[in-house]
Amino acid sequence: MQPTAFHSLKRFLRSPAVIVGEIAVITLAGVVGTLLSQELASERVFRSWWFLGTVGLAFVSLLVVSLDQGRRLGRTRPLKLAPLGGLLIHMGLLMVILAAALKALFGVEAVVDVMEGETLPPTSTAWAVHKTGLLVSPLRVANPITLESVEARRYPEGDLKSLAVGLSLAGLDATAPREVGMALNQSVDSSGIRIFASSDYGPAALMEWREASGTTCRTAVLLKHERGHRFEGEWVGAGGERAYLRAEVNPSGIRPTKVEVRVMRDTSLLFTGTVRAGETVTLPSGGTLVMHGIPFWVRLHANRDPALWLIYLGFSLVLLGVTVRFTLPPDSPSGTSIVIVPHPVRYESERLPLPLMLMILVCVAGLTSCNGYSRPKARQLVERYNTVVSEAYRRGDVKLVDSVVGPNEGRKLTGLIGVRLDMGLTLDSKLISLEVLDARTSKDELQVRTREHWSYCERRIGTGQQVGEKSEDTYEMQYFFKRFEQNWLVDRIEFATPPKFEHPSKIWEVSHGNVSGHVADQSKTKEITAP
Amino acid sequence: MSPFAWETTFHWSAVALYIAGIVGIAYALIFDRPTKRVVALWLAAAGLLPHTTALVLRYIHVGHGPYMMKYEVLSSNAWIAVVLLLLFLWRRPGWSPLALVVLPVSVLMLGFGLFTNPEARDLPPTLRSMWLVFHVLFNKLAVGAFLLSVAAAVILLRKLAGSSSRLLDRMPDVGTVETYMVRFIGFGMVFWTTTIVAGAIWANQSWGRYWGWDPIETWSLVTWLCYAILLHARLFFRLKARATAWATIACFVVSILTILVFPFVFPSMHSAYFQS
Repeated sequence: MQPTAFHSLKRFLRSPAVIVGEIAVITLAGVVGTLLSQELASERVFRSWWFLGTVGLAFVSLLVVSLDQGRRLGRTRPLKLAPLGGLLIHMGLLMVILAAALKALFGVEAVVDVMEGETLPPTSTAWAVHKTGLLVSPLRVANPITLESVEARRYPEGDLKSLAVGLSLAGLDATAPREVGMALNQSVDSSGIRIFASSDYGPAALMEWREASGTTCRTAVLLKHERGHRFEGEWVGAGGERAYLRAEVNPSGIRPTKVEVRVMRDTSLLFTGTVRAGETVTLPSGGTLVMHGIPFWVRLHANRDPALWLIYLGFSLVLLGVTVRFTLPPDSPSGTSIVIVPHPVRYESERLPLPLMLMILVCVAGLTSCNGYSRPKARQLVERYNTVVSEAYRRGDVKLVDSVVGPNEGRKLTGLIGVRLDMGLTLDSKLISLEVLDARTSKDELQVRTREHWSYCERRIGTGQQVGEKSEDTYEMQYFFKRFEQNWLVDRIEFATPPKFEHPSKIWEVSHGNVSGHVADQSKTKEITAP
Repeated sequence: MSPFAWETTFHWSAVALYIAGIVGIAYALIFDRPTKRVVALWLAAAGLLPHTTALVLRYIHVGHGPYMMKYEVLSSNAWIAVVLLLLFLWRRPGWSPLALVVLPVSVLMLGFGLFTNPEARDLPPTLRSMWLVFHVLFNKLAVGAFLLSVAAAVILLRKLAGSSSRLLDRMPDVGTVETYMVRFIGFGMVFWTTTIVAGAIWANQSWGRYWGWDPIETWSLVTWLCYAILLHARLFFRLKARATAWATIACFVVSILTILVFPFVFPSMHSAYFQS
């Protein structure tokens, strides 16, 4: 009998080469996906036509194989456990793929940041970010949701210990709202939508910025966890000014009552100080800042996945299948124990390019485990250090440098930035060029030698007025990085060769009158002497 | 002594006993002294006592299981591998040469872990889930089972290369070693599947999605698929014993990269918890 096109297709889909090829392509896609950034991997690999096509082909192959296995198993008496295990695995995988497809078509997800006391109306626009299936409208919760409270506790070192969120869900028929508690790993259901909290939370500074011209701008600045008990955020005002905010949260979860504020226009520091809830501060530009309150905010996620039960059923079948396939001994007429392994008995030999597969895996493993320090990587480290430290000098904010320096360099910078603040000055610097001359790494130390060209000027806090002349200098620097908790941080910096200053030495003129200083000839460090 | 000093002392005592066990088994097998083999295995089993004590002390000290720091993870992985080995040898005493692969690898894991940062880290709230226990426990069992499969693969390759020694001659024939090698892979697949499923359920509970193509999630799937390719290729293409053994070793390398290397290489949700 001549095989029909349908039979030929079936034979093709269950042929060993196609099945192994499908698994191999999905495997390689996984490998490639992890070598790219997650966004790029999602776009170029896991949502690409070729990947989805391969998964679709694998689904059809699994279907054909499962039907075939089921038919053969139905004819086998007594029932054999090993083939049953294989069938269960394949059926489970079918369900997993089907559930993922249903989620992609009918699933909805949304995210929103909510402050204590804020109510989310029952509209889709209440949620900030939506991820919607192809055949479904954006997520909308049936009832208004009010965030009543956020109770967060942190360990003494600053890591989050617990987060509990109190919500109030209004009834559909205007019945009294019901209070529900929620925590990490503990969601609530509202009309078939699952709502849960992530560990993103922090204080929200409710700020009002009144310009001298009368323009008023109000916003809630959400401060995000930076390190330790510190939360930070920034806000661009109507006039182009930028406010940098910082608050310390008590480990026991007590809400902060004050926020550290720095206001900058371009590279000039206009204001630095602490603002309490209810306080108003006047800026040198004539505008005012009002802090209306500092409640907590939390990020809420909501989703509806119509195929969640199917994925769990799929998982259960796969688990049951592998257990039956690989662990249970089959019934044996003689009563002897038989080891179950998939014996190569079904097909005649077909050569698989196994060495090629191994070679690819070894190459990928080699590529990804390489951790040497190349010059571009060293350059990134130095650039990051210089960017952060320049900003710290510009804002007069020494806490910024914590992420790039170790204790030694941190102490030095605290002194240098603090002294400028006492003098009412900030340093506005710009790295014009950077060349990495050498980068060497040992077990715990990385040394990077650079040639840097900088432009500097001092500015007065409040007005941003330039103090003294602008200077452009070239240095050869030696950076000593040390590993602190898996990160390379600057432990100390030295001049590799004597520096060349455009303006070798100049006396500072300081408005306060009680402090004077000079730029040292042989050092980047500016020494200050107070009488 | 501080709790950490006790931990270290117990850990090093375990290392010493495991090494004594390795030497004893090697001596017993090479010089054909069956009674010495039993003594050597008891020495290795005795190593479990200080090892278990060290892990219990660690649990009391940090307040959570061994799944945060490399120090804890490697030690507990080594513990599981030794336990699985001894359980298997208890039922199949003739397979003692497996110990000459599994015990040294366990000692290496333990020793390497002892030289990493032992500083305790606080448990993030998302890790407080019973699914974590299943996720981590079955992952360690999978590593133990895959390690046994690699040990069988090494012995199989030696036998196939025509090597002859009293040690190798005591082992079953090539066919039986290959069968057991694949059976260990089968057990590992059961445990690895449980790891992935428990992780997916837990991720859905914590993050609202059961799969997010996080690099470590993806590599756990890649590992599962690599073993699936091996099993399918063996079934379909009649892979010879030698090719199967080499593929087993390659798959084990992938699983170890997934568990112990990639969490430190790729920025991932897993690496946020599993550091230093």
